[in-house]
Amino acid sequence: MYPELWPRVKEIFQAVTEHRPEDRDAFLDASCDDDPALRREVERLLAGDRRAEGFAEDPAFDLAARILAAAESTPGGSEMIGHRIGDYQIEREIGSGGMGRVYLASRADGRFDKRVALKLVQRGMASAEILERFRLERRILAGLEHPAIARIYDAGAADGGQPYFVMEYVEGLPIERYCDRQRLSVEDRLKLFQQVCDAVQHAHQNLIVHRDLKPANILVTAEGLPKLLDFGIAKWLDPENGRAPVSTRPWQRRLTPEYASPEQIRGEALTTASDVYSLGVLLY
Amino acid sequence: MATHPQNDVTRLLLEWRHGNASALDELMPLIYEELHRLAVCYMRRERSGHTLQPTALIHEAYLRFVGKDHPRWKSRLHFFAVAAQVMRRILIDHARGRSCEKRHAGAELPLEEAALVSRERAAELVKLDDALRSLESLDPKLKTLVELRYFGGLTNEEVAEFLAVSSSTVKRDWRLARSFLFAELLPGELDVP
Repeated sequence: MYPELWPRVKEIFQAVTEHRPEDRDAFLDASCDDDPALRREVERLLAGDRRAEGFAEDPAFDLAARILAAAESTPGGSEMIGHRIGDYQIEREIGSGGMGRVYLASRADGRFDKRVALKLVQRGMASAEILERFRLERRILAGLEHPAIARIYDAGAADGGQPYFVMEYVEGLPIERYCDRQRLSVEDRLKLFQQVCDAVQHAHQNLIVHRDLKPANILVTAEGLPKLLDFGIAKWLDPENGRAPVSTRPWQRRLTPEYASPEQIRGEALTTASDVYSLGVLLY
Repeated sequence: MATHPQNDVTRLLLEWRHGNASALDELMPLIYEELHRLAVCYMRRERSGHTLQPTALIHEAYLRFVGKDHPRWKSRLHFFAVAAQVMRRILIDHARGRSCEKRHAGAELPLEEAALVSRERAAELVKLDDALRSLESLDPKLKTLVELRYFGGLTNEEVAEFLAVSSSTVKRDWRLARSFLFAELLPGELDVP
């Protein structure tokens, strides 16, 4: 009953509090139209009002500031270095974004001599949307297996409850810097680009659109192998029509304007063509 | 990822003002970091005899990010609104942790932090947060009002400017919001037969 009732509850409450306490009953008799639910709710709020004097009057701010200052001792950001998350030892931060941070880590038990990238949702900042996006990225990566797509190894939750996942650590340069640094010929550039297209095609065949293809998300290793990273805003397509549902969800509108396709900027339905457009910009 | 916190914050605030809600997700960690850094500085000063002025904390964070380039910039209140949400989350996350006290062995909190919020106060804050969610589902504007006043420390006049209403409306709406939250916090006791 409540949401429908609210506008009238609000109106009557604000009117009745203008009256002297002794006149309020008569006012309620006249304005609640014998609606017992409405009357009960207004009276409940009035009872709250009688005792709420001074309630929440002082901002909770001081307390929050103190918690914030004390948070020095709880790991976050660079303070994570040396900490252990699951089976992994954090070495250093290698990236951060709205969703969380990416750390370079290694197996703490030394069972594998392998360095990995560990992506951790930032403490205190994990809204439901961010968590959902994080899980989606994890599931998307788990479903993709391609030499040019960074692989996912492991996932779990840190002591503070923040989810993390562990993926292949790619040491390399953004594709355009790699090309310039190596002074690649046009032919070699095209070969490299073809491998990127192959990886994107693999994703598309799995009905996944990356949606944020740009040089910073395509690294090339010392061996000259490109690796596609950051499926943080990637999206599953509808198998029926090959389009992503037009979404009003705000996080699905994060994009990099220089590389985003026109329909992406306009917020229209996306198809695999959106990635193809970004690839085109990249090639150009 | 390139990090120019100053530019990022100004750009993201602008995007958020223009309706890109995802900018908020990116803003919050940046503002959190800065508030955290400043709070630690303030607390050190406080130990040597100064008192922490929470509003000064947010003002200083604001100046650090945008104030110097855009002294009369309209996004000031938007910055405060995000900061209020960050403060709310800090407080509630802490309170939730306190009230369920599910700690792994070896991850004991230092005494100082543990003593900040009593178990009772923590439980109350968690209930308040739930009540605020209920209020939000009925009346999103009232939720913002509470957030700005209670968690952001804004005055009625500042809240009025942000919500583009008169300050007498803010006063009336605050009374209603406060009564609602209080009634939610004490169910049973206030029920009218």
